[in-house]
Amino acid sequence: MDDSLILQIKDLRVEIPMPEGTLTPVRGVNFEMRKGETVGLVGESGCGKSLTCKAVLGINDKKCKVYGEINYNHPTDGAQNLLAMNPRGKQIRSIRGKEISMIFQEPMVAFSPLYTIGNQISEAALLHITKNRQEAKELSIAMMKKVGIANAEKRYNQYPHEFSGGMLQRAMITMALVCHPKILIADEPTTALDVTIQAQILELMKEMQKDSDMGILFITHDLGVVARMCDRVNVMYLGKIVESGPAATIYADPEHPYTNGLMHSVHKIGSRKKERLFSIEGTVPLAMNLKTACGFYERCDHRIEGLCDQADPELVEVAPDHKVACFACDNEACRAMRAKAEAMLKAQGQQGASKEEKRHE
Amino acid sequence: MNKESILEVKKLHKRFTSKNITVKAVTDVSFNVSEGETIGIVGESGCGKTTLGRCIVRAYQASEGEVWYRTRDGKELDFLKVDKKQMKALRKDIQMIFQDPYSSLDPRMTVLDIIKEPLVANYKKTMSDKEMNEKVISIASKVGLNTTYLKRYPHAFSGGQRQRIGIARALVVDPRIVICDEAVSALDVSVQAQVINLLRDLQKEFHLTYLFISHDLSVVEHISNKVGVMYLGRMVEYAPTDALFSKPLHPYTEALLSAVPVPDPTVQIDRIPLKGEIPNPANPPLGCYFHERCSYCCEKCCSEVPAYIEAEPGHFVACHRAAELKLRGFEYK
Amino acid sequence: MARRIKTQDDYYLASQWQLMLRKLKKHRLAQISFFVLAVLYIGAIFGDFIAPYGLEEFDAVYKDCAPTQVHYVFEGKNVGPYVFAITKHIDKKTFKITYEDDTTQYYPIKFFVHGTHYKVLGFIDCDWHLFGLGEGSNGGKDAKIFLFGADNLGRDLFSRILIGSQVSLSMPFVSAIISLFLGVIIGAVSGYFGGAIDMVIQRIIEVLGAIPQIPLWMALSAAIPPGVSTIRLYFYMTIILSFINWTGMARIVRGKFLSSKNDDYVMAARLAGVSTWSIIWKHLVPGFMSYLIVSVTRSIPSSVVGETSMSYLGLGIRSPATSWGVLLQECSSIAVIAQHPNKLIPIIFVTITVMAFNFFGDGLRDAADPYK
Repeated sequence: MDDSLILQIKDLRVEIPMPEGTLTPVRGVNFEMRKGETVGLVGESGCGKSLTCKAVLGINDKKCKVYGEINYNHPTDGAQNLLAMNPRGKQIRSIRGKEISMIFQEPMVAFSPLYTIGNQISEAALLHITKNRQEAKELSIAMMKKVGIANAEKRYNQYPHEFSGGMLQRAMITMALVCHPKILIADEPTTALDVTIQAQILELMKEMQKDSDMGILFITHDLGVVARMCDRVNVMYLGKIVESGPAATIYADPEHPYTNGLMHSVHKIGSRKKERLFSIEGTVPLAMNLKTACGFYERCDHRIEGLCDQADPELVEVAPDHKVACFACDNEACRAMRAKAEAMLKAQGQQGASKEEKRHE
Repeated sequence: MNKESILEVKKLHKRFTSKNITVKAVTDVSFNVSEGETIGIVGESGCGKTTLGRCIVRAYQASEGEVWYRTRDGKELDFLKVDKKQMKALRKDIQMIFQDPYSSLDPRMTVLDIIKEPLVANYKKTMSDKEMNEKVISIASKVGLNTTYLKRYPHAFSGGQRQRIGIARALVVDPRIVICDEAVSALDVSVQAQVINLLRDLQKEFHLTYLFISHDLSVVEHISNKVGVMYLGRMVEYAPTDALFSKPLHPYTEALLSAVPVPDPTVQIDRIPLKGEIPNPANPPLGCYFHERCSYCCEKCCSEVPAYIEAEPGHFVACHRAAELKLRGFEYK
Repeated sequence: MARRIKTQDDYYLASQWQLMLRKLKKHRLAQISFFVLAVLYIGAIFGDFIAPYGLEEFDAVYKDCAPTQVHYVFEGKNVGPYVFAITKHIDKKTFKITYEDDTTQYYPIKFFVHGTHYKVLGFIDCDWHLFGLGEGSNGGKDAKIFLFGADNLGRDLFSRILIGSQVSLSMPFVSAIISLFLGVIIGAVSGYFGGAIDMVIQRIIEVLGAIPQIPLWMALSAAIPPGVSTIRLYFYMTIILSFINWTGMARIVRGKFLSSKNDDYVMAARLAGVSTWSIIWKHLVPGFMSYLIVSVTRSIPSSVVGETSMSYLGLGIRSPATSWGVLLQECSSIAVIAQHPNKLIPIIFVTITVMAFNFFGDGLRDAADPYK
């Protein structure tokens, strides 16, 4: 694993067996995160982004079967496959909270109402850094001050219900950062907050990142937030990444029909355009018993009959650091992939036809 | 009442009292709505926009104020003071679409029955069952629902489709005003676009007037003719969309506009920082509610509540320093 | 593929009850319990028919006798199921009473025989019984088939359990239904209107709930005048039983009302012009019907135990009617239980009934609210 990378996800698949069939919310996710980078994972509900980031920390539900590799570049121990670890074992528990932390969408329910905020923040410090309660308390209060919680000493002893939404999110960030992790996974951290508070929290996250070279995996469906926060963006649809690249490129020149559709579905504030918004027809299908085909096939304006419904495109590099998974895009790499897929289908078709002939004989 | 207005809200107040604590959810709100317009009402949590909408339809009983409505025959009535019988007749004219597509439909009724219910409640004696069913089918296809699925229960439908069912239910009685209470907030981006387009098409076809309550400024800018900004129960600014977004007159509006993340990584945002947090609505600050967080606060702001005045034609604002401040909005190219 | 689509469509078209039923069918324990309850209730409904003897039919010879043994082979020949008559011997010296089978003749068990008269539905006279004894092989008529033995007056315990189950199984059920009605109406009023009405009703519920159950029942039934007719007594008892249970129901209903009253779909109905009454009955009540049914089913066991306890203490059903509790009155001393353990059989019936209702209620609770 390249030393500039901090996280590498290879062919991640999550399957949930159900009585009606197998649900496959994540169907082969590949991406990387460099040190100090903010990577965005963008998609709508049902695309599998939450399950992907939960798989990194091994906190998926028992029912989920997780396959693939998630390689974490440990500062002292080198590359480790997080999925190879026992989800309840000591090894991954030493990583959770210390090397890789996570913050969640609803700060109101992320804290236990029975313990003070300080107690819960110190819990992380006590687990990973020190066994001394006083030292943990000092570390926590120092981090609280850094994060911008006023009257940190007083707030340390208060309960979650005494905090507002924005404050609680700051407290959650404190709890995540108190052990100075290398990666922060943020699962829709500002969706439940007011827009002015959201702006404060996003700025805070950027500031925290500056001093520590920490990588942030930012999951959201809000294209505005992604533009503000992320250096690189991965667009997910139906369990796969359909486009990946630097934020500026993705916004200026989206290649994949889904990304393109999404960009045009949102009204850009500050522009006077009042025409009809572009809307992608149909809805996200259920990820159950899917056959081999492009996940976006049914809703795509550029679909190629006979190809896109028979084969699933892979991510190919269309420009330095810009990858797209689509047969229909107009560039060299995609065209090459398309030709290869068409040839393979033709061969399969011929094989099938010759088998038929053999049977008739 | 203004000749072109279809709805005029005058000094509306709503207070919630419980155990000696009074929360002023809506304080002294006034504005005009012309027929066929879309008025956007924006604000953050605790601003009272949802309460305002519910007071207008009389789902909540307003504490004070008037809501003047011009009926189809041109009569002017105070919606809040009509008697029960008149109320029943007028209910059909103002309908509401709710935010949560999951709790706004009774899970135990078929979709057909859900959309038919307002007809049954109002036209039981004048319409036959067959006529009602026909009306339901026609409205359902107008909003884009597959009419063969009407016998299904809500759990069979996705969020966007449920929202369409809610829209059909609101429109089946031919209302004139529809209050969209965060009608697209709970939907995915691509579905939001579908529903927003649908609302615009329906407005054109049925000559509807919308009161669009939302916290999403991008959507509001897209769909509204006029926008009202609320803060802690008061209307702090009310203006045509272009004017509000390009030349805001209230510091809160300025801060709000600068905080919205733009889906364009090349745009440099110079955010106006707001100190502190939204105050407790049960204990609002003295004077201007916003003064503790305002960068332009002066002495007068701390003691006197600013008057809601028409600073420019059609552009209302409640700020002592509106005339002198040069606030930053979006540059419309 | 077609089959899966069919299932999906079924799911979309299924109403709340259909979904609930489907889930319930998968619950093994609930299915077994339902079967057990069905058997018990059918036994009760056809009790007079299934039982070989009437309620008060007795034979002094058979006083306190043990369960009759059924044999199949008589003197080497297979003659089908039969029983022996019992003869009583008193030892002249010790005065000890012994019972012996009279093996001289056998009495075959016959099905669909004529026996004691009883009234179907209270007025149609009938004397058919499911099984009984035929004439003895030597023409005797003294034998009795007491499958569970006899009580201290020589009455068949099996028949009395069956006929007694009519009371023991119906009374809790009827009282649960009455509690349901009372609970829904009072809870609805309390929850929907709130305010002073709510406060008063809640305080009454709390006071009633604070009084210990069994003493309250005892006090209420002691207030029933003696010599009252059986039917009247039955009604009084049912009402006493439902008197406590309605409070639990009302609380649940009120809670559900308070939480659902502000749901968006209720507001939408109000804005559409639907009347308050229609909102309560069409929107709110169906919303918690499933919880209520679960609650009713799970409150029946305590009524069964309550009725049995009261009758055991002599405060409930009195003769000529009988219930399982009355039958247990003879089990008041260790001596009786040690010598005649068959008299405890009614307890097995009570236990099975209570467990069956509990498991069925659990199954219902797991199946309820299929939208979660």
